[in-house]
Amino acid sequence: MIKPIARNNKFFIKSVLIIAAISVLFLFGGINRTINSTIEQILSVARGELVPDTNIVIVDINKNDIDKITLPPINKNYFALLINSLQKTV
Amino acid sequence: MKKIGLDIVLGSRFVKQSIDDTLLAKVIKNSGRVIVSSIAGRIEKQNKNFVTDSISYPATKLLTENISTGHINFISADDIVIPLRIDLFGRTEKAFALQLSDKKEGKQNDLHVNFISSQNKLTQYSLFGFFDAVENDEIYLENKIVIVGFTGAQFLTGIETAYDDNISNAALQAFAVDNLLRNRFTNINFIFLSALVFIVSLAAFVLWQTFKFGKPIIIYPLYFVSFFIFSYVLFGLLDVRLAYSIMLLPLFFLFISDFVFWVYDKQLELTGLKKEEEILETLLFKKELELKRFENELKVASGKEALLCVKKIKSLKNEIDARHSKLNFEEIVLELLRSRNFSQSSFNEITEEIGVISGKVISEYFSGAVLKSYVENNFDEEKTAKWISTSNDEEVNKRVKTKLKLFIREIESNIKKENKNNFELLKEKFKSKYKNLPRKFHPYLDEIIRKLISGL
Repeated sequence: MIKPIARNNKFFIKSVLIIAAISVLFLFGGINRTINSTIEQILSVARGELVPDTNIVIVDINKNDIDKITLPPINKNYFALLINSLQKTV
Repeated sequence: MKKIGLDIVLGSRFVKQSIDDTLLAKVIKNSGRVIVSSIAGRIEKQNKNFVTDSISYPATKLLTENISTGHINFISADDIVIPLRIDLFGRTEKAFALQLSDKKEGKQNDLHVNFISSQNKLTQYSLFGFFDAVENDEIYLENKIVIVGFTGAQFLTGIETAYDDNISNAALQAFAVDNLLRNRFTNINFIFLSALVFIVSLAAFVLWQTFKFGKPIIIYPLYFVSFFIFSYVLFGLLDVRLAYSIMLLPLFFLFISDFVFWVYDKQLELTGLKKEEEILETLLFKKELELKRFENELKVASGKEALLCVKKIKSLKNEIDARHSKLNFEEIVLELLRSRNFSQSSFNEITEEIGVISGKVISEYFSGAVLKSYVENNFDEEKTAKWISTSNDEEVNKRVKTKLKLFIREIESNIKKENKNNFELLKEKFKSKYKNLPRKFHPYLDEIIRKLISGL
């Protein structure tokens, strides 16, 4: 016959489960990391993208640029030229 | 132009090793604003400081010219961490981003990068696009920090953010500089404190929802939403990271346990209800047979006998109608008793009000409800009385408690009289008690007997 579970017993079971869950997090770091990074990604998406500091500029050298200059590897003098151009813009 | 960062490994196979680095070295030196990237070897943390066994510098010639360098290493653990200073046998190599930001030396040893947007939102030019913009005076770089880097597939970091699948190293460094300039790196100083707060909160939650809240499952969405809002305010607005997992995994386990308890309780209730239904069905069947008998008798009866038959038929019809209506009798009985403050006369008044049910049935359901609550409240008389009465009135609770004590003392004295410790034997002896209790309450009487045996 099914027996009713007393509230105290339910509380005891739940307390054990809390301790078990925390132990799992300490023993298995991967689970801990996965949960935290997932939540942080959700929070980031919920917050929405912020505007990066406009004082930071990236000059990226992509495949097309390399193809236009020459076949890789790039001569270091191109960087000297680039730095020179950057200086001139101020 | 504030600073120029060359996020390029000049010794790599993508950059031609010219016989002489003189031109590049001269230009960098003349500029005085260029930071060239370096790469540290194996990084270890010792007493909160980062140390390495080697650092690869761009080119020997550049080093001899005392050109500023900064390492582009990062540690990928729980998140992306950039050591702000790495020690190599007494020599400190600062992070590339720190060098570019020109931030003053602080106590902070590392930077937990906060990827605030997609890398596409950063101000970017392709190499030729940049030269065109310079030529056409379309670009104004005063006070700007320019990071020059490759963005080909070979130069991706493998880092997945909330907005990008794989960001380039130049973008990683740009976000790091942004975080340093705007003080919006991820703050991890509150992880331990938040873990403690979450554990205390979970303990309070469990205590409250187990002992004070009748329907524990309903409270979960509310609790989860509160946690989410709290986390959102701290992370979304203040960049503070919390120990989310310490809250969420236990909460998930608790939810599962409460769901299992709920299914279990429903099963228990259902078992009782099925038996109750069976009894009601049997009673109904009997009443219908009786009704047919009186209807037949009425056909041949006359005078006083006929009047009696009509009265009986009317009463039976009312009873059958009541049986057909699916009432939760236990709740009705308790509600009616509550409205009368559980007074002595209330049982008779209710019997009269309901009409078709005998006072004995009402008493049986009331006893059952009290026993059930007594077990669920872990055999605490005070709590049981309050649970049944749903009142803080001392007089009302005293009445309920007196009735409860009466039930329990009676069972207790019977157990003592029998002088037996065997539950099954006692159960056999208490057949009449079980008979006077609706079937669905039998498991609670079992528990009480067991409890009383263990206390003897």
